[in-house]
Amino acid sequence: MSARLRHHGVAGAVFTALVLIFLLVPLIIVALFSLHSSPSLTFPFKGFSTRWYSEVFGSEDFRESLFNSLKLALATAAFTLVFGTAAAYGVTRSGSRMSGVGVAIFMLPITLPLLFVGIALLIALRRVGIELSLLTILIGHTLIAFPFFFMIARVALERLDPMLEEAAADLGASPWKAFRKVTLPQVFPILLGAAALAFMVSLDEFVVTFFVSGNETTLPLFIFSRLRTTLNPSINVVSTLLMATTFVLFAFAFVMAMWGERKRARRAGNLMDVTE
Amino acid sequence: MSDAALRIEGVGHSYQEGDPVLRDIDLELAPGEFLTLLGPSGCGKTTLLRIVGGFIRPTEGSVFLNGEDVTRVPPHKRRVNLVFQRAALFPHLDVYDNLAFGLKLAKVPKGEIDGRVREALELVRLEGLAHRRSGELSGGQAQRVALARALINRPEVLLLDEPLSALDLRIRQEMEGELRRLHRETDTTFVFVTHDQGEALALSDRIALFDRGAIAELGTPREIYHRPTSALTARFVGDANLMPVDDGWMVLRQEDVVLTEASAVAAGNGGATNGSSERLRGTVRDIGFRGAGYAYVVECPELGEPLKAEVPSEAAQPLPLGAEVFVTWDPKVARVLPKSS
Repeated sequence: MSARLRHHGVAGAVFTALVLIFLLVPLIIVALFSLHSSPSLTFPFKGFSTRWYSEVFGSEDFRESLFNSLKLALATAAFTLVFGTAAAYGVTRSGSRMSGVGVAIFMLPITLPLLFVGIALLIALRRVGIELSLLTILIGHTLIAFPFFFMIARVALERLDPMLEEAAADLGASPWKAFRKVTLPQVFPILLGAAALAFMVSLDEFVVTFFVSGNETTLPLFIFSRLRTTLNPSINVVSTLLMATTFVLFAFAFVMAMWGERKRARRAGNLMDVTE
Repeated sequence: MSDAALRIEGVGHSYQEGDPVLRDIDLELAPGEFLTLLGPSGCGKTTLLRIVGGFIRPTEGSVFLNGEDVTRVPPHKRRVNLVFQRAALFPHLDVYDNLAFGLKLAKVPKGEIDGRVREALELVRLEGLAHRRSGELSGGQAQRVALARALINRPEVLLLDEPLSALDLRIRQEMEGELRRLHRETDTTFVFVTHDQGEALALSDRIALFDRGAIAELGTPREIYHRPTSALTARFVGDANLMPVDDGWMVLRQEDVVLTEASAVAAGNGGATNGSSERLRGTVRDIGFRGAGYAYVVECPELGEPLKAEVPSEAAQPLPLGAEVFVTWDPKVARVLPKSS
């Protein structure tokens, strides 16, 4: 390696470190102050205490919003898993010219400003006469999470060899059996990862939730309402919990995607190595 | 005739746009027959195979399996099995589960599945590989598993879509022998698609030669090779020389061509015309050693295109490049075919 290159390597490392610090320091500070022994949110740091955790978990409002958020995230993940897989499978297998239009429609919600989606959804729900409730939040979250799931599922399904489904049909599998026994097992880890992503999207969705929540509350709404009344480390506690959950889910999604990718690579290796 | 294993009646197929890819195909296969659909790519042979498999519904005509009209029966309800060009093994299953796939769907009892999988593995000589993943098999092994996976279901007709074309030469030759043996041992009707005339000649009971969506010639390998009825057949099978004559084409097989150096004839020694009366003059343009023979390309001024000749290599030294030669042949072996399009 030449001196110049090594020099570049050092500069690159320093730059990367600076960016990481810039990105991570606020998160670390949030987490740190969730353990602050005093109500102050500014330095100097006076000492560690779990009192804010006790306070937050002791709060009825918090427990309700946490429970709501988890229910919503789980339901959103399940909904997108089922409908997103069906949509992605339909689009990749139809072979119709209209499938491009389908893709555009399914991707639409993430191309629009969330504010717009929230208002539009609120107006639509009012028109149809649906009461605002957890169900309407679920509709909103599914709408927002769907494109993320769809995008990943479509790529995963498109990369499969369609010949394998033909082989399954040839061996006596109905289209549904072929999907369940041959197609689904090959992409399932990736779909699970994508569903975890949908879970995350739902868990910290704020804008659309704000419009369609009615009297219900979720964790992000809880933080927002707390911010207006009290300014103490209890908000940091909730934020830290959200962050930790998101991190774990992201790690899960990543591991699932890697696992699926390894399976795919093995398969591709087999296809290429037809000559011994 | 209801005793045909497979009967294809007036089958034609066209996609929305363009010319038909298949026109008016009639074929009848006796039980246990090995029929090869031979032709260049795009001639419709694979389309016909996929019609028999149920993957394409023909726009015209009918397909009968053992006398039963299956034209509108979807693939998963037909008692035929297809071996794909690439093995198409299920990557998430091991060899055992690949083989058992069809039997499980047919709700065959577990004990019987075990026995039949073992039998099938013995049949393709892969005992001991039952728990390999498909990614851990060589190309030849994967294709054997694919054959076993199809045969284990005891199909009425086994369809093979260029199953050897993705393998390299040595494995391909080995697999040719395997296919012949499997056909003998299982007594199943085989329909084999290939663009390789060598495979077609080596394996088939009968060959159907396809040309632009129609059967140009149907017969045993010997008939197709030695008594082609069209110039196209002669050209495609064995790459014969075609020479324009008054009323059509004269077909001359490469191995029937005799080359004699002009200088040797002039000197009067070894003017081995061997009673061959036909004679052309030419110049040797290329020589390739093929082991058993030399492959010559000879340019003859009287012919529109170079003449190809295969001459046994053991008896003689090769002729030098650029040598002036007499091209002769026994008039009995040359066939004249009518001019077609």
